[in-house]
Parts: sequence; C-alpha cells; structure tokens
Amino acid sequence: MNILLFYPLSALIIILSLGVILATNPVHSALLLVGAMVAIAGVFLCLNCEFLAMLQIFIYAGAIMVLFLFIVTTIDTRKDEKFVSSAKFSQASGILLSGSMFFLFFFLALQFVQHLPDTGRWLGDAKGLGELFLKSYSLPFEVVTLVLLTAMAGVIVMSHDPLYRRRSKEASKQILSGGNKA
Amino acid sequence: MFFINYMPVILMFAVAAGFAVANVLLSALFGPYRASAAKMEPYECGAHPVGDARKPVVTRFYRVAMLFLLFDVEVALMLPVLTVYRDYAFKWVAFTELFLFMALLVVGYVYIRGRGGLEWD
Amino acid sequence: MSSWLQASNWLVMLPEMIIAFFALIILLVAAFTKDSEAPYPESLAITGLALAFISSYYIPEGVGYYGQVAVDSVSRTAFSIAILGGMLVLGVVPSQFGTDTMRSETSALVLFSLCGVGFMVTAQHLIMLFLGIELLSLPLYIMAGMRTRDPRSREAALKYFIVGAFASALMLFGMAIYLGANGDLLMNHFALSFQKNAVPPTLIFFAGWILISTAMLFKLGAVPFHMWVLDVYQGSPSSITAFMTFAPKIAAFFALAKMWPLGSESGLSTPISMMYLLSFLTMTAGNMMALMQRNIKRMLAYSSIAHGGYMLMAFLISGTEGIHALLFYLAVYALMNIGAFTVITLVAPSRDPELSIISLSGLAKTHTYLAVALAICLFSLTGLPPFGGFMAKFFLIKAVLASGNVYIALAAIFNSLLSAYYYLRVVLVMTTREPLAADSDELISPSAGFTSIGLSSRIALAVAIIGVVISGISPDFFARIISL
Repeated sequence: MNILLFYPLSALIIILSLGVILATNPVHSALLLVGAMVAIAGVFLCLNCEFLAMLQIFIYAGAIMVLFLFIVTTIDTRKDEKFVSSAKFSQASGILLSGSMFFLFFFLALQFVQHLPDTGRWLGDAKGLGELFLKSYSLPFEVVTLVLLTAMAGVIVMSHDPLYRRRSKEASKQILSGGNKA
Repeated sequence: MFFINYMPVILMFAVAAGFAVANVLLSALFGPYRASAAKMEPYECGAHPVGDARKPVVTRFYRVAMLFLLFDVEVALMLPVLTVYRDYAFKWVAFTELFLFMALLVVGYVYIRGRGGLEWD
Repeated sequence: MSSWLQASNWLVMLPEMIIAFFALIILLVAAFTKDSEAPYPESLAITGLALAFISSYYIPEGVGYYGQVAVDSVSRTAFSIAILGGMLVLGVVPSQFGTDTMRSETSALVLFSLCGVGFMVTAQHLIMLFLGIELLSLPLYIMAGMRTRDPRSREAALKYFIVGAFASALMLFGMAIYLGANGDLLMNHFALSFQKNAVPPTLIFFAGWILISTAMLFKLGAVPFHMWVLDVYQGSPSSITAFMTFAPKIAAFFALAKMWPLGSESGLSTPISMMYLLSFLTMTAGNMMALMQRNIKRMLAYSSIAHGGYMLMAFLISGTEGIHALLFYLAVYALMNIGAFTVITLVAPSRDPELSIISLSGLAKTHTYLAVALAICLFSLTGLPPFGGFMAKFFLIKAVLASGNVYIALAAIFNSLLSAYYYLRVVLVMTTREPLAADSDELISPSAGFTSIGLSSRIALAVAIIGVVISGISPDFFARIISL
C-alpha cells in the first residue's frame, strides 16, 4: 500500500462522491461518478491489483456509466429538474443516519489501523486471479455465468412490450395500404 | 517503485489529458471570439438541429447497452483464466471450465437472438 | 484431472447442476418457439426439480469445491423444502400468466432462484453466499415486475430491487470488514469465534458480522428491515408472491444459522439479547399491523413478517433441536402460503383486482372448494390444532420453553391469539356475507371455479392442502417425507 498516493486519492474519491450526490444536474453527477471510479481504480493500483484497476475503468467507468447516461436520457429531466429532495424530514433523517454511520465506521477504521491486512498475500494481477479461478474459486466462477444469464432473461422480460410488435405491424400495414390507395 | 512501474501509463495519461486541456485553454485564450447565430448552434453534421436534445430515448437503446454490459463482464472474467492457461498443469480442467463458461454464454446469446432481443423492430 | 475431481468433490452440487441445466434447456426452447405455442415450459421445469429432489437423496454429504460449499443433512432438507415448494408454485404459474406472457422465462427464473437457494444453504465461503443471494434475488426482482403493464407490479420490482441492492451493499461492506478481521472469507470463522471458550471476537469482527447478518435480515423481512415486504408482496403476481414468501426465507434462515451462535452456545449475551429483541419486535409489529389491513395480500404480507418473527425464536435454542423445529416450521409455512396465494391467484380474475378482503365475501357459496382450501390455510396460519401450523408452532414453542426462554414463548402464544382475529375475519367474510353482485350471475355450484382453472394448479392446491393437513395429523410421517 502506497500511503503517499492513498491519501490524495481517497480525498479525491470523497470529494467527487459528494459532488455526485450534491450536483443538481444528473449529467454532472454521472461525470463526477466517472471521476470517482477512476480514482478508485487508482486505489486498486496502489494495492497492486492491476487487473481490478483495469476492470474498474473498463466496466464501471466505461460500460456502467453508459447505462447511467442512458437512464438520464430516458427520464424527462425538464420535469424534475431538482433531484434533491426538499422534504425536511427525509433530509434530517438522512443526515442523521449517514452521520451516525460515518462515526461508527470512523471508529472502526481507527481499530483497523492496528491490524491492517497484509496485501502481499493476495495476487491482484490477472495471473493470480486466473489461478484462483481455476482452483479454489472454480465454482463461483461458473455461478457468475448463471447470475449473468438471469440478468439476460431479465433484460428480455423487462424490455418486452407485448403490444409493441402488434402496434408496429399495424402501423406498417396502414402505411402500406395507404401507399396502395395513393 | 510504484511510480517507476507505471511510468509509461502515467505519462500517457498526462500527455492525453494535457493535450486536451491545453487545446481548449489555448483556443479560449488566443482564438478570436465572434459569436453568430449559426455558430452557436449545436454541431449536427450540417443538419439543422430540431427540438430539444434532452428527450426520452427508446428503451431499445438501453436494452442493447445492458446486453453489451453482460457480455462485457463475461469476457472480462475469462481474461485472467486465459493468462494462466498456457502454463497450467491440468489443462483439461482449465479447458472444461472455460468450455462450460463459454457454453453458458452461448446459450444466453442464442436465447437473446431467439427472443428478438437484438432486433430493432 | 482425477486429483482435481477428488479435491472438488463435484457431486455435492449435483441438484443445483440439474436445476441449472433444465433452466438452460428452457431458455433454449424459448429461443426457438413462440410464447403462444410454448410446449409447457413448467412441465420441463417440474421434471428438472423432481430429478434434483431425487438426486439430493443420493449425493454424498461433505465439503466440496475447495471448501466453497458443504452439504449436510440440514442444508439438504432445507433445499428439498425449497424444491418441493418451487414445484407447487410452478404448477400455479400457468393459470396466473396466460399464454401470451413470458411463461418460459418465469419457469427458468424460478429454477435459477432455487439454484440460488441451494448455493446459499450450502455456502461455506462468503463469496459463494453472496453469489447465492444474487442468484436468488435477481429472478425475484424480475418476476415481481413480470406484469410490465401494471404500475403496481413495476413499483414492486423497483422497490424490491433498490432495497435488495442496499442489502447487498451492506453485505459487501460487511464482507470487506470480515476479510480485514480474519484474513479470508471462509465462514467457519463465525463458528470458531462463537465457541464457548474462544477468544472474544474483536470489534471489527463484530461489525462485519452485524452487517452481513443485516443483509440476511433484509431478505427475511425481520422488523426493522421489513418496509419493502408490503408493496412487493402486493404488487407481484400472486403465484410469484407465494414463491417469495418461502424461498428467500429458507435461504436466509439457514445462511443466518451458519453465522449466528445458536442459543447460549457462545458465552456471549449480546447475540442472544439481540435475537430476543428482533424476534419479539418482528412477531409483534407484524401482527399489530396485519390487524388493520383491508387488502388480503397486504394482510398475508404482514402475517409472513409475523411468522418470520416466530421462526427467529429458533436461534434462541442451542443444539440441533431449534434447527429441526425451524425446518418443520418452514416446510409447513411454505405449504400454507402456497395454498393461500394459489386461491388468491384463482379467485382474483373474477373478483376485484385490488383484492380487498371484502371482495371475498360469499366465496363459500360461489367457489366452495376454493373457500374451504383458503379456510384451511388460514386456520393453519393461525395455529389451530388439526392443521400443520399448530404442530409447527407447538414444536418450536416447546423447544423455546425447554431452552428456558419463557417470556418470548409467552409473547409468541399471545401473538398467535391476536393473529386469530385477522385470519378468522377472512373466513367469516367468506362464509357469512352474501356474494357480491358481480358473482351472482356465475354458476353457483360447489365446484364452480374449478372448471375455469387448469389441472396443474388444481393439483398444486390439492397437494398443498393435503400437506398442511398431514403435517398436522401425523407430523412424523410428514417429517419423513421432507427427509428430516
């Protein structure tokens, strides 16, 4: 663990994450989130987890952020321009909850410093991971595919519109018949 | 040691970011600025922009993006196994494992094609 | 190769493999056929589940896949209960979804979800447990939103997903802390740290343990974490709700049993008092809120919370007795809920789609058999003697009393008395009120309603009711069937 790099990186992550939740424009939030993801990749690099750092950038900052931006386009941003809840109660309870969580984990972190895990034991590069996937993690490796298959079925179910195909067929029929008449 | 290992990557990052930032800054500082109605339009390859850019997009885009993400994750998970495959003692185990992984992937692909998940209309 | 096979002991996961294989076959068949001409995907799924159930008798017990999973008699029984419940639910699914909705997907998703249950009850490694949770929950989120045109269904899917994602995040956070405290993610550190003469666990270990347990309690719907249950149970299609009532509960209870000190077996008092409080809160709050419900699905949702509270008492009992009582309770509970939700599924189309309790009035006259079936399930849920619910509560409360926790047992008994009010009110509405105007032109005969429903849901309902009755009359025989 490279402490010199860790502190600036984690400060950056905290600032960017705060920006994500405080920004009123959803596109700004998404871009700040990309920044936070890249900074997290930096932390992974400090831990010698090169492969994870690469995945963090490829999958999170790349593919998942595309999904986020798609979501931003599917909602009508004009209508609910303000994403910050104005309800006093929910604001207060949110601050209370996150504040208490913060202090809880702050004290935990202080305890943690006494026995920091030895990062040298873990192989974070692609080869180390590959050997784990072939030996002790062979079952989880295959189960991940099942989870992904479930997600594929979910994509089909959720984006399935029973009326859509019928409607588009009717529309094309109307266009065709109209063309014939003309 | 950390810096030396990643020096090429860091350099690459610095050059890429620096190039982009420098270009924007330089053109803002030294470029002549004469606004006109045509110049302030969003650039749409010559076509005149119609309506608002912020309007809901059909969910089919989202579906394709989501399916892409799933296959992306699968490929990313296969990479580490491939790096050790050549020198692995039990090649058959590794082969079977990867084959199973791929087979499940192919079932997913066939299913999506059959259900029209990649069709546009 | 052979050494790998020995190390992996690959047969221990055979039931899960069979289930996953059949889910894949269903997806492949779905790829080549249209929904309307689907060759009964449910029958394929039920075949797979039956094979998995049979195979679970023959697989060896023991640790497999480099210590990732372990099969023992408890995990095997828990999984069998989930498989049997899944078979019954798949019988009801055809009459819930017509021919033009995604029936193949529903069957495949139920199978994937059951796979997740199997991985959760056998997991010995937190990565495996996490994957099990995801594999269990993802299909449930999807199936909750199966009726994409119904805003309630969409709301249910979204709420379930967000709460589930939050629980997963808590679990991952807990896993990170656990990793820091122990150096690896093997689950046996729980048992080692909660031994009688073990070194008291560190604060970090405790924090990780609490976070991971909280994720499980979310899945159970234990009381501080129950707020999602209502809308999700109400909005999901009724047959899917039946599946939701038992599958996540079975998985989460037996995952929790692996990480929680049972009774006073650890020298620590904190886990005991925490469980005491959780159990009391869950059963009392569930029952109190169920009293005020006008919608039958919401009422059953609160009742399932309350039953979760009763079942949490099993963690106050040291030794295997509590676990066995819990297994029996879960089996009966699954049958009762499947029965009740099947009747709701079958009644819903001809009645108020909102399913207020009042809309069931006169059901005894219009659909006599369905009314009798629902009444049996409700009596059993109350815990009335000739039915399984009574025996389940009896075994559990007896074991709790034997372990010396008198007050919580008394609380459970009082809660059961309280619950009689809202269960029996439904029976009263069904029998004493006149049928609503909409039903009067229906053919009034004892078998009305049966003519319009499929054979498979008829069989599923009959099996569930017979199970509820047998478990009440001859609990030993019932226990032998579910291989207790």
